[in-house]
Amino acid sequence: MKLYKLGLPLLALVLGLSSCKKEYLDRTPTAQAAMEDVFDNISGAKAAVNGIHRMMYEFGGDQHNEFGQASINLMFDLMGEDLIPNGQGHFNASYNYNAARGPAATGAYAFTFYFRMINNANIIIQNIDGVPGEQAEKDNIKAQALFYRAYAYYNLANMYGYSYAMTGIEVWGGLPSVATPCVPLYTEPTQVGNPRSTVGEVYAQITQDIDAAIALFDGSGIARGDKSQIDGSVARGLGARVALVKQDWAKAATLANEARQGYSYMNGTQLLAGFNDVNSSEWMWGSAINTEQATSYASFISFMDSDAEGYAYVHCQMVIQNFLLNDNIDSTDIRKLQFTTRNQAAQPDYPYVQYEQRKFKVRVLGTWLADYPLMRAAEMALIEAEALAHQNNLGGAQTVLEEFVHTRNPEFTADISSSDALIKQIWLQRRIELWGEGFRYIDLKRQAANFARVTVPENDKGLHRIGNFNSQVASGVRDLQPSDNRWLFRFPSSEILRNQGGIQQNP
Amino acid sequence: MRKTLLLLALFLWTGMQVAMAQSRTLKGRVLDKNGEGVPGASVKVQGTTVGTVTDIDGNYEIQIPEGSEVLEISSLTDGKATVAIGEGDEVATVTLKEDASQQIGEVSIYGKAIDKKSFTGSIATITADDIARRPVTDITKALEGAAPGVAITSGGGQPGASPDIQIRGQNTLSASSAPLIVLDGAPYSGSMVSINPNDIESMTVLKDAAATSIYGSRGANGVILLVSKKGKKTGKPQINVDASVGMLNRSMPLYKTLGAKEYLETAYAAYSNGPGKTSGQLSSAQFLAYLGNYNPYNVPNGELMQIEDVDLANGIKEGTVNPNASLLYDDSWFNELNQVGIRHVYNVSVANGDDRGNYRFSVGYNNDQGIVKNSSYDRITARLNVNANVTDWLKSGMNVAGTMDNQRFFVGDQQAYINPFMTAQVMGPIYPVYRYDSLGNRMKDINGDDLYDFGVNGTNNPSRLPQTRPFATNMNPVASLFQDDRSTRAFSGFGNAYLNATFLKDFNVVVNFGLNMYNSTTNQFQNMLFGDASNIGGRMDRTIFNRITTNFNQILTWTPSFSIFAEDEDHNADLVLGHENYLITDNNATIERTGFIGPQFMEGSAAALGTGSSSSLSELAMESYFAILSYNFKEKYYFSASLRTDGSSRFSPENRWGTFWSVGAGWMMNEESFLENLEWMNMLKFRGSYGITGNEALNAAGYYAWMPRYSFYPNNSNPGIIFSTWGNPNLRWEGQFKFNIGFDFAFFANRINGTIDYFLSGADDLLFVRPFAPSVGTGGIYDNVGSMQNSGVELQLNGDIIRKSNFTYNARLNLTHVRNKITKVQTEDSLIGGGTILAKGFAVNSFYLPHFAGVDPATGAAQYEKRDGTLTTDYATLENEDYNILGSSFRDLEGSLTNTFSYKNFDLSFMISFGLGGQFYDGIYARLMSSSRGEAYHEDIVKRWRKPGDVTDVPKVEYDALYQSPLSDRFLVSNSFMNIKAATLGYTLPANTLEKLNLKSLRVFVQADNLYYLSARTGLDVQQDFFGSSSFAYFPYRTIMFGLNLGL
Repeated sequence: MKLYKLGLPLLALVLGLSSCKKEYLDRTPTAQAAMEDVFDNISGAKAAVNGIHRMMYEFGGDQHNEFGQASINLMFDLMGEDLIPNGQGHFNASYNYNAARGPAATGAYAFTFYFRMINNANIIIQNIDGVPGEQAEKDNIKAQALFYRAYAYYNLANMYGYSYAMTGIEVWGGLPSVATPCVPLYTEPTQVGNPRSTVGEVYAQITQDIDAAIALFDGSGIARGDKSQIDGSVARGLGARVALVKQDWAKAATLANEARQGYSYMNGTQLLAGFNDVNSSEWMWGSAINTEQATSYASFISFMDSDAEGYAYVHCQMVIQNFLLNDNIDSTDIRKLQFTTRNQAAQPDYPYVQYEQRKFKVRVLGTWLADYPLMRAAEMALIEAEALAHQNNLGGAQTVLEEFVHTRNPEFTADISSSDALIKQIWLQRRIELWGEGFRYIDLKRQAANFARVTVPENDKGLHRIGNFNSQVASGVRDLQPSDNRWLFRFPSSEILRNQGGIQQNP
Repeated sequence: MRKTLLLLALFLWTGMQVAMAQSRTLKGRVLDKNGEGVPGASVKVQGTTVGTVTDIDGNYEIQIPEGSEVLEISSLTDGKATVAIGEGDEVATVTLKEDASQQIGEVSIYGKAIDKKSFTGSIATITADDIARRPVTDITKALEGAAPGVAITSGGGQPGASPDIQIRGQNTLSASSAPLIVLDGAPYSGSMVSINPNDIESMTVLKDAAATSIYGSRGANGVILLVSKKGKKTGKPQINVDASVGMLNRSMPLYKTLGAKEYLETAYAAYSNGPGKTSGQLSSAQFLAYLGNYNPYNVPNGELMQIEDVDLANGIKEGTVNPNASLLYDDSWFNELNQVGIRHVYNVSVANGDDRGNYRFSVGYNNDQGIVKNSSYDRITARLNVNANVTDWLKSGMNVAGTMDNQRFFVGDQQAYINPFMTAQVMGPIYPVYRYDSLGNRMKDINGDDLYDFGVNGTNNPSRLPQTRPFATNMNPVASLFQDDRSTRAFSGFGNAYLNATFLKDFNVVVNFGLNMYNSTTNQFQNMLFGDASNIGGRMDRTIFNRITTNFNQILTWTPSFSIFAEDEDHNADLVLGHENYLITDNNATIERTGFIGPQFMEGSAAALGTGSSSSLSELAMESYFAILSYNFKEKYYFSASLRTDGSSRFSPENRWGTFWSVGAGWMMNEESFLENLEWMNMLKFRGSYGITGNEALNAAGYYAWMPRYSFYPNNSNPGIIFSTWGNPNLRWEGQFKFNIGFDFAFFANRINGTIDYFLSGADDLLFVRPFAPSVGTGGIYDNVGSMQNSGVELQLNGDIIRKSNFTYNARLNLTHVRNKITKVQTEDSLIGGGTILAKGFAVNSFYLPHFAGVDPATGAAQYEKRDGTLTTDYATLENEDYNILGSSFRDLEGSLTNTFSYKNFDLSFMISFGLGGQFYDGIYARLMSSSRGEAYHEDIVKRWRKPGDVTDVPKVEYDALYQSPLSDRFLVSNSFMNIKAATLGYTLPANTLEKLNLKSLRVFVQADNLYYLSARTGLDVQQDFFGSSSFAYFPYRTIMFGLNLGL
């Protein structure tokens, strides 16, 4: 009897203590992946690249105007003349340049978005060589990461610095743009901030990364699974964009030509189908978005297509500048039908407001489904034509340009009376063709520079907002001269505070 | 002693005479264990308010109502006793036995019962009586003003939500500041609101190291011990029924905002001052188009505003509303959202006990309607507490409880337009709740119900133009309350079982197993007909969350009764050794579907499209070993020590274990010869303690803070991941030393008693997210970044100001002063957040803002002072050095005053809580002073700058300004407040009436909570947040309850 009286408590104690194995305190997350489990196999490394593809259309989780690259593209176009918000909404701050100049808003979002992309790319680049697996697959993964690093820096350099070929910038002591401060440069993952590198240094890195990516894509010979992934053609496309800004015409023409091989231009029907299908023959790169990952109100299509009954329906429609539509798009141009005319809108019960865009449409009504275009063969044709024209190869430029524009406007004729005239025509085609796809801000900055063979009158340079379209949203920014400080995004205040390398704020 | 009492009772019983039909006088004396009279002891007839107190020699005299059977004696110094009295007794002498005396209920720490005399730590106890005075659904709300050093927020006023608790100030940065809750001996991780306050016998707040170090890594923020009610030896079953019903309404008004006329005039100025206006855009019609063509007046848009040039040279225009215009409608969003809520509370309990064990069973039902329409909380609780003395050496028991609750809520998110508290405050006054046709009549649907205005309308409205409401477009928070469904149904189960065995004479072992389960289903359904989800055919979201917590501990106690101690009874000691492990498992599953077949369907199976689903599992494991040593000499000198080591899965294997310890001492000074002769001194105890506690409670994302991680981020159907955060393998416990000295005292026949404490605590290795420069591409990591110090004084003073046999007045004052200071910030001098700073030498989150220097009379722009004393109107040019550290939210003094009166059978009490000093950043006011299109303006805006030369401190209004009311000291106000908190008026029926009704006891009462609130600005609730920032949260409500407590 005494025995169990003693034994029972002791047994309880022993049972309690024996439950404590060493592993008891080892717990691993399930809603996240520990980093050590990512780069120990190819599929983990592949997933890390896929994450960046997803990032391109993520919803940042904060403001509804933060939905990846498409939101930044919209901001870039709103900072030009051709895309106007018809009402108050999340993108007002972009339109009136508060996003670029204010302490927060989309400017700060784009900053963290691209640097997050760079950090993800850097981690992959640093780790991929140590991952067991086939070299070709590893090369392909590395090439995609290099591509994204270049892509992010290309956008950042254009936002935070003067355009590459600008000269004599007063605020930085008359230096040429390449010698002026740009963004901090990181080529490996770190927790410590760097000071600003120059525009020249950033572009050197961009060019080096693109060249390396093209070589790796070509060497690996792996075909991509879908168009949200990067391949050699997309890398060449980015190379062409970069060369265009750098005024490296030969390279721009070559890369643009190589990039668009294998793609064919959209026809009339496709052009009016809503720009929402990544499988379009002309799309080189785009985000392929499914129902579960579509970002509802915080999505490009919510702000663009009022039929989706998102923000375009409730707050403000995105409209085209009236002169561009009325005076600069020929009536024989099918792209005129991508917009609502004033007369249409005046009809009773017509569902759209005047000049409202109908280029981008939701794929299935009652959903938020629409893929986002990120690079198209049309843009490559326009780069190639412009680069040829800058080299005074007007015939070559004419061929490329007409072949492309005829798919939109069969009546089109290239004006080859002078390279000035032809280039102006190409620039206009860029505004029409690439409307809503995020090219205008970078083009405005790029086209304000001096060109060797082309003369742009000083009063044509910079931003000149005209048009009598009476938006409820007013912007104090109507004209920006090429040297205006407002071309520059200001760094987020948190970067100034926390970067131990020291960040000099943009003027 | 117990035997003596029983014999006494038996003696009284056998001496009983024939029942007498009236009250009579009973005399007696209360003695302490040494046979000396106890002065100031309370003598009360059980079940009544009839009571008296003993005189200096311990004598008393009391009127005993007919039918009364039991006297309750209690003394602050010598404990409590109950005695049965016979009908014929004239004299009843009661001896209080000290052992049981100082116990505060049955509070114990790891099996070691704590009493006020031997305990060397600083504690405060809130009894069932205190809790009963507060008409609260959530027991944590009863903590406000209840004890010095304990603060709670008013937040979480949504029915069924809990406030935050802070003990002795802010002791941490980003780790949780919530104290550890221990329910009947097991750490409690469930929701506080699932505990029925009526089931709680006592809440004991442990504040210093002597009390909290034994809880190791979780003791840094203090510990609250909850003890549930148990059955007592009462002879026959005690059946109690409590019922009350009452109402809730909003206790404080809204901020004062402009009506339609002044609003339109201000909005016009803001519109015309906006950037890039052409003259064509400044017409009345264009202005109203800008406001979405909402014209509440009976004149056309083009004629509503009369435009005047106030300063032609600078093109400054103002608009006034046409004096001939009259309002067509004037809907109040607040009135449509707000309601007087009804609350019902019912509790029934049965309890009994004898030498073989005891039981108590209770069932409670609680139904609260919120002060926002269609928000409510109802709860059913059941608890069974059974304890059995199995043999003379083995005890066992079990405490099981279950709670089912259902919370209907609204979206309280600060950015959600559908948050009713935001809408009620921010919606411009020209925007109606309901649709009005072109004649200004309210429109009806086919059922004759009012049509809601969702903000996107055709031309059938007073303006006869298509309408788009700029604020909360396509939404109507009132409609959403009725047409959508947001609710959480939860089941909580709690079980705690123990075995307690005594063996080998001096040893005792207790094994506790506690299991806590919380299972909730949260629905968020949005209808397919109107609003946010109408374009996708309605949407349903469901989150199923399941948390299981297990706690298993084994405690060995050795109370030596041999060797040196046995020879001299002056030495008493015991030693407790224990082991504990703890595991939290969180399971989460969510689904989201859209595209419903019809408006009457709400479940996912009726929806066409899956638009989101996920699941996850998180675990947190802890393991601990501990020891507690207690010793006293002659019950005059006390000493205690504790040691504990904890391991947690939160940290890397190298930094997993932490060691925590404490020492404490107590000295009963009044038992020393030099004080013994002071008759007025009943008790004086000095105590002190020092120890180390810890904190590891990072939020759920911090479960794995030591490892670098990727988040899952699939790209279409390809699995994908994105880098989430770096890990910090060096992350370790946040440690804290706590030093405390204090006195407990009772003077003048115990009429004045209280506690005074001085404390100093220092936290090291504070856990915080160390932010990175955004350009490194990731947000920051958890790190041990700094140190801080809290020092303070606490006073609790309790006085029986009037002690008459039929009238008593007791006042209790609680005062707390805490000073918080950061002593180290590791990597930099300071860490700057949005408007706040963590800087050495200053309190946590001190405000860090530029100085607002009035308005430039020439331009109307706000001016800010730069470091060199110059003024600028360009906010963007302000650099860090232009910012000032401007105090913190911490108040200089917080306290409460509780007054309790009793007169014959009536009792009345009320409590005033207050705080003095500190700063509060009134963000809501800031927003209302610089509204965006469609948003309301505070009435102070009428002082705005209008034309050059105006001298004012309110800048010009301007829509689309680059900086809209940027952070500055312009919006800092005092954090002081005064709140008449809880008031109760009760009447206890006299015993003779009760007998006629065949009842044991009956008390009827009226209770009120949040009667009156005073703060720096109308509408401002400074208690909503510990850090002095405002949000559109559920405002505190006033509660008025009528009820009864019935003993059968």
